[in-house]
Amino acid sequence: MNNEIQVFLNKLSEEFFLFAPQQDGAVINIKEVRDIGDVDWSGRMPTNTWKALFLPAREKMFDISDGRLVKSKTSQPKIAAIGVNVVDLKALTLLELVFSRDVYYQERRCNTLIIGYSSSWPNDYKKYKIFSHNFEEDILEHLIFDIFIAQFAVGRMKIYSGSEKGQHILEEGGIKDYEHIEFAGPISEKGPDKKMLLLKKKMESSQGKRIWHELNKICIACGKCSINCPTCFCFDLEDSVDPDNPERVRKWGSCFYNDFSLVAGGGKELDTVSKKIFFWYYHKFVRIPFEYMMPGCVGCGRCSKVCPVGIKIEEVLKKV
Amino acid sequence: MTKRKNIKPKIAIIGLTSCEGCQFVMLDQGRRFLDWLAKVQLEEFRLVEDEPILAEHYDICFVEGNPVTKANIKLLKEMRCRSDKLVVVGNCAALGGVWELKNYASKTRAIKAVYKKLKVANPDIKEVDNFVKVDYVIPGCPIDGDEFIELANQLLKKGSFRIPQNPVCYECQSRGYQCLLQQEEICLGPITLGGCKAVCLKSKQACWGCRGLFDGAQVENFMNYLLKHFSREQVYRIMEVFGARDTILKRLEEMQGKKNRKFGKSKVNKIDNKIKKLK
Ligand code: SF4
Ligand code: SF4
Ligand code: SF4
Ligand code: SF4
Ligand code: SF4
Repeated sequence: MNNEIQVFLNKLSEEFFLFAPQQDGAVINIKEVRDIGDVDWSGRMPTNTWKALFLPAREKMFDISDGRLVKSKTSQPKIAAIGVNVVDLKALTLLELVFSRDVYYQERRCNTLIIGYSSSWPNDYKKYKIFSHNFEEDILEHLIFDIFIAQFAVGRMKIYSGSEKGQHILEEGGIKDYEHIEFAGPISEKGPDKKMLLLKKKMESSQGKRIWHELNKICIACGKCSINCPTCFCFDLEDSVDPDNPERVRKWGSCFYNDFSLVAGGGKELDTVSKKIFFWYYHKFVRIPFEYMMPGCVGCGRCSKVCPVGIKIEEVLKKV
Repeated sequence: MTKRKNIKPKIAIIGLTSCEGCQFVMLDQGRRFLDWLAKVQLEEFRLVEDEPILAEHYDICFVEGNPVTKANIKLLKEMRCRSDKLVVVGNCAALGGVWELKNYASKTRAIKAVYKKLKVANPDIKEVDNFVKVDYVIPGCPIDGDEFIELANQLLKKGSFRIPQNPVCYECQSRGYQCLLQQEEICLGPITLGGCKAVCLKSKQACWGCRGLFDGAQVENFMNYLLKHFSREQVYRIMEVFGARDTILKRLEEMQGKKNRKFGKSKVNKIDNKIKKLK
């Protein structure tokens, strides 16, 4: 990465905890930056996701005192998320929509600076083989970010700001040569994505198809796919009665586990693997597009990579 | 037993044959454990008392360890009679413990290898629930301290005992650990009850299932997957370390049995044969 950016990040680290993709053994993982030289700028898809920065795997919501719930006071650290690729920005844009009224999410989000990055602008969709929706040229107008660094294949680099906060920080950091892009909402003026709508239609009429019976025999319901998915946002609430620490906690849930559809009395809606996996796909490709006009799957390929039994989402979609 | 308000529940904590590690975990909780003790009337704590005297009645009896000896079995039955609720604590009590290994090997050879000269009884190892009715299970080898404190407190509140039914994979992955199953190691995480914070995976040690199965474990698909990649001997050896093999195969049988009812008879026989081969 060029000198100007290095200096800028160094300055940023005085105010923020920096998080970025870094080489971690054989894979790329998002973690806290100890040395700015460690940041991976190759544009390879990180194994883990950014969602933990906004939606921790386990988060205390309320303290319970005398049987009453009192919102836990937690001070959110200032974090800069550096090098978020376009697909992951798309996922964060969806989360932003889903949690627009969630104080816990919003408190975190307010203290976070999102710095997007492309290593091969504007060809990322080809590079990541995105299958769930199309690339639009005006995509940056429809993604949330504070700053975006676009590295073109020919070596040129361009910097964008996407919010006032971003502008301010760029100016302070001595970067004057940037273009501002005003966020125009998550959905393109041309309407919802065509490919997404096509997949939605296919999914809607896929119940009972052979593919679900096939998956019923191989999926082990480990839930790895949903835990590692940047858009899976379900959570469980858990109350603890430990007198030292009576609390209500929110933690990541997964529709692959029985607790997800457990209701009082012990009944479970999703009692077979095929129901669970169908539900998962249905949420991503039908219900989220229906509710938010955005794809529930950004096509990052993480779920395929982590599935121990080799279920590949791209292949499944071909068969629905 | 008539109960009046403000009477603290009577508690017994007993150990059968075990390493006593689980009772030590309780002590290790320090002040938190003492705070809990303040809310109960501790009648028995076998780890720290010299001469136990049986009370007539207990509200809750915690049983650590496995009923291996005749004296163990007698004490266990006695405690069951005197207790409203019986809670088994730890892998030995719940799944048989490490020494259940000998059930799966030749137990005569096993005993000779360990006690070269001594003559000792050599019974099959059976879990506590083979002898008495078990109300609750606090799993793990050893148990997790935080979970114990939470559950012990829940037990004092009527009817709220509950362990979230997630697999170890959930805890492993939400903490960002590397998946060993995808690196050609046998890991029982996908079918094993979480709650241990995936401690083994933290140290890059595969899960060997010490906490037993969770509700929703896809034993059938998981077994098929394992047997495609590993030999049956390899898979069984891992399942035997914490005595989980019998429980896992039993659940497998139940799952397959449930399916059979949906098919005709010929198919049932075919699957029966398959199960027999599995054993
Ligand atoms: S990762 Fe694969 S096996 Fe596990 S729940 Fe997802 S699809 Fe099923
Ligand atoms: S490809 Fe898989 S992991 Fe990525 S967004 Fe889609 S469902 Fe989630
Ligand atoms: S379960 Fe493990 S730690 Fe607990 S008593 Fe048995 S051997 Fe010891
Ligand atoms: S290492 Fe084991 S526990 Fe962790 S995700 Fe893989 S299979 Fe699950
Ligand atoms: S990871 Fe598995 S073997 Fe290790 S403590 Fe947890 S349940 Fe037991």
